[in-house]
Amino acid sequence: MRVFLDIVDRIFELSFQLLGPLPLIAVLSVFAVLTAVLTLVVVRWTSDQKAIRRVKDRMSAHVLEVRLFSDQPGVVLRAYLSLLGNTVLYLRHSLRPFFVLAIPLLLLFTQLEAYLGRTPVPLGRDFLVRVTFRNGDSLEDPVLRLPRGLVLVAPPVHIPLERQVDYRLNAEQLGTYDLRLVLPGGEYSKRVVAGGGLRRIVPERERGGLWRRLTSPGESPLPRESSVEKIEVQYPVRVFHLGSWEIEWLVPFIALTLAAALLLKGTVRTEI
Amino acid sequence: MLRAYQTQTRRSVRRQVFRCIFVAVLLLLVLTPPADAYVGPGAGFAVLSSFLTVFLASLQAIFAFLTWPIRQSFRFLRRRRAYRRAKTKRVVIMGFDGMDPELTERFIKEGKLPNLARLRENGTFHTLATTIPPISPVAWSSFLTGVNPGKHNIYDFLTPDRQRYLPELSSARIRGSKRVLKIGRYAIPLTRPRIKPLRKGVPFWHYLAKAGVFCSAIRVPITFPPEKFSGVLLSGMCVPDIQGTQGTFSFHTTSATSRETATNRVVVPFEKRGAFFHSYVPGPPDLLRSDSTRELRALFRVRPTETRNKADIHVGGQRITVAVGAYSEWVELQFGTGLGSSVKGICRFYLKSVAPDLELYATPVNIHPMHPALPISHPLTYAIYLAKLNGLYATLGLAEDTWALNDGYLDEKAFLEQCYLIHQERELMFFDALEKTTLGVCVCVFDITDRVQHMCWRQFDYDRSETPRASNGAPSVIEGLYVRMDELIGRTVRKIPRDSLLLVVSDHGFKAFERGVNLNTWLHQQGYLTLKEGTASGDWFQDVDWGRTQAYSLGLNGIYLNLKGREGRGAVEPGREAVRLREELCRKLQGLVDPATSQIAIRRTFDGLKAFTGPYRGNAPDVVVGFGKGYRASWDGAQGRVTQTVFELNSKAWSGDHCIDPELVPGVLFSNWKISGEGHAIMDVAPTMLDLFGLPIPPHMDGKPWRMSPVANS
Repeated sequence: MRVFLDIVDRIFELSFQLLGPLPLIAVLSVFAVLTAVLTLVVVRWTSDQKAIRRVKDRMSAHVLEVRLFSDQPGVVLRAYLSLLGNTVLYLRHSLRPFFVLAIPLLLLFTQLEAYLGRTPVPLGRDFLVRVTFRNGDSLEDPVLRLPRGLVLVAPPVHIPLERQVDYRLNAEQLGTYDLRLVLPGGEYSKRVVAGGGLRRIVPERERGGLWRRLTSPGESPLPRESSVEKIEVQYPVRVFHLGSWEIEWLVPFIALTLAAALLLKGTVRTEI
Repeated sequence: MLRAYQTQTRRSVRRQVFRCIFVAVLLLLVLTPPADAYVGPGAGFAVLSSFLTVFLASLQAIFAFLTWPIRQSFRFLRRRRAYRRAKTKRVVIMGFDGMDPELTERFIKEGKLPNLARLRENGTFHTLATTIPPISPVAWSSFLTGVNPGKHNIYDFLTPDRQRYLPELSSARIRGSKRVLKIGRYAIPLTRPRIKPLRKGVPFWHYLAKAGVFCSAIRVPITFPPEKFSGVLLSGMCVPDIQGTQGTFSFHTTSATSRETATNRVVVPFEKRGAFFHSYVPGPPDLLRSDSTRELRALFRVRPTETRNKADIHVGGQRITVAVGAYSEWVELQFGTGLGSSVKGICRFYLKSVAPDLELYATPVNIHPMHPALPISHPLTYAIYLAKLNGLYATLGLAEDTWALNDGYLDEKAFLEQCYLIHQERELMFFDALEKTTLGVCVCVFDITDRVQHMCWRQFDYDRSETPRASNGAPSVIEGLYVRMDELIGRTVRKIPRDSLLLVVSDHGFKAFERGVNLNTWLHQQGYLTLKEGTASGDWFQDVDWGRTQAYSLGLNGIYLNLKGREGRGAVEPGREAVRLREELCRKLQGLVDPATSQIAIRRTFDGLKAFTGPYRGNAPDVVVGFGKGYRASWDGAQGRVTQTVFELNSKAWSGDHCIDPELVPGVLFSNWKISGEGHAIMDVAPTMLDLFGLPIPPHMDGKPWRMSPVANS
């Protein structure tokens, strides 16, 4: 499984290297179209297309029924109840593709979140690294070892109540760094990306197993026996500008995916 | 066997894989912290579109509910008179085209129609006088308007174009757009096509709707184009197919080498390319071309399966598998124009044979009910609603393809299957309308009774005293048909409350059509119609010398004088000469005897000026011929052809008919109420409906309301 996840990581690395020079919205559009096509193909092959079409037609019929017989409250009420019933049926027909798509889309979304969700820490601007321990006893012990290019700009802040130690750092040079946290029981690293561009960013490294690996692409989880719960780097959130609105990548991505799916459903001959 | 086993195994493995995925994903979802669980666009589409649909419907429903009291109060003011004085709150009219009273009575006596027997016993059974002439479009027009043909202007399926002596559809005239934008070879229509209704008079549901009584009218003949009123209507008989004809089927075969076109059919050869046989379904002319000569086509290819008992039809991105001797579902066809727009239609394929010749029949391309090229319902969304609710359905007026059986392209089994498929669609529509019309009038016409009797009457002699059975003892096709209709009536009776009024009516009865009378040949032999040369003519009066012709016959019962000032090349002076000629023709034709059988071929004749009253009497045939039992206008004569003999044997499958003396073919009238009096006629239905809901009967109506009373234990 880990090998598979490494391959997935590598594929996305290569894809983003290839798409890196494009504007951000173009990169998002490419992934939206690919996601739409994947979804349509899976829906086409794993769902009962005839039944979906039938249920959708019935739903439309009941909507029309409300309009056609609006003077008859009994008919309107029955139409509305049938509409609800058919909606449930429609969702039931969508379950199988949903289950088939759940894992591939989970992989896709964690990868996209890693590349598009946050920006690298900007050069010359302070950022926080927060270490959370499993219990409060280890709070005095850690030693943070920084590579060249990262500097500690203030003494660590201990928050015993939260079992946390906060470090304020500054990146002086563009690059990817591994900071190391040395404890009596072991040594733990966390990757920090500084500079700009489309780079894989994993803000947290947590203790855990396969699930953590799945949701933190490119970085293995902390060992289960570790006294550190998680090491978190506070990256700025990447925003897209829609007029005066600032939105995260997921909103335009879903909008683009839906638009692409609606446009392509005829070509792929899929009823959604 | 092995293949079936492998398929089953594959299915079972696939099912297991899906089950494993299902369990895995379920576990994943259950064990995952909520923040990390992403739904995904697959489910997103489902949730979003469901949400949107429910949201929109909710808005509509809320709007409908909130505004209902206001609308109801407003309507209440209008309709209070209707319902306050109404003798019943709900009327259901089931029209069975051509249901014959003699046959019905016979089957009732034989215990085959228990539901109709109950209606007769507890309620009413009368014969119902039909119209002159007893043809469906005429009779149903009188049914819905309550007037004689002189007031509704329908005398036959066809009416002559008086200038060109060519037939025209009597019920509607369809013309292209009035304004077009010409760009090079294209002519882009800027307005909708012009559809002019030729049937005059006001249907009774218009009066009722005005008074606030809701009406549903399903497939009542001569309701195309649909007229606006406050109710729902799906047009029936006379709705054209996508080509604008009354039904042109296509037959595709490897035995043909070139395309052959006839009035109701097109035979298209298959072209073999690789493993596929290629052909096309002919569509309408490309109206976007200035010359409109290019025919739009829906291309398809067929590949017979290895077992040779099925074939895959690939059309418009769909693959349909049809077995030999079976129909496909409705198939959507798209006829693309040069400018990217398209016309949509639907048809069913019937695979007649795969070997030695590949033979495929395609029904006439019906107007697509979800994307109607012409309006076929009121409101327009009603046709769409029905299609969305119950699936695609036949929209063509004469949907049952009698021509395909008549000309030998379909056998009787295939024809009957087609009829019952269409009938099933009609039943679904009817029961939906019944459910929706909790108050008001629900009227639906079932055509199957007419079509099957036309085509299957020949099997047995119904004049015999006992109902004949097939050689294997099975009930005849017609007996089976009546039994099915009786079951339908039974289901309807069970669905409606006891105080509702149920009427079962037919527009005419049926008799055998054994011998044809060519009226044009008779006119020619008697010197009223003159040919340029020879003793026979082609279709539609080719070779007729109009300058020396006094009368001609077109259609099923009508003879027209070649009147000066009315006809393009008229030869008869209007006035005294015309009156004399009309009377002379009536006199000579009445009692005309067939020398081969010594039977009376023409029982009665009707002078058009005396038989009809009203503003459109001038459009009526000058003489209406009432044929005797066993006779009808011959096939050739009806198409304006002069042949060698006046009388000929009818050897076609079309062996039952009703275009004879109206006295011989009355319809039926059943009801769960008592209807007293005598002389009930089909044109009484409209005034009766108005009377039932307490509305005044317009003085122009010719029909008279019936005296009716509910039965306590009906």
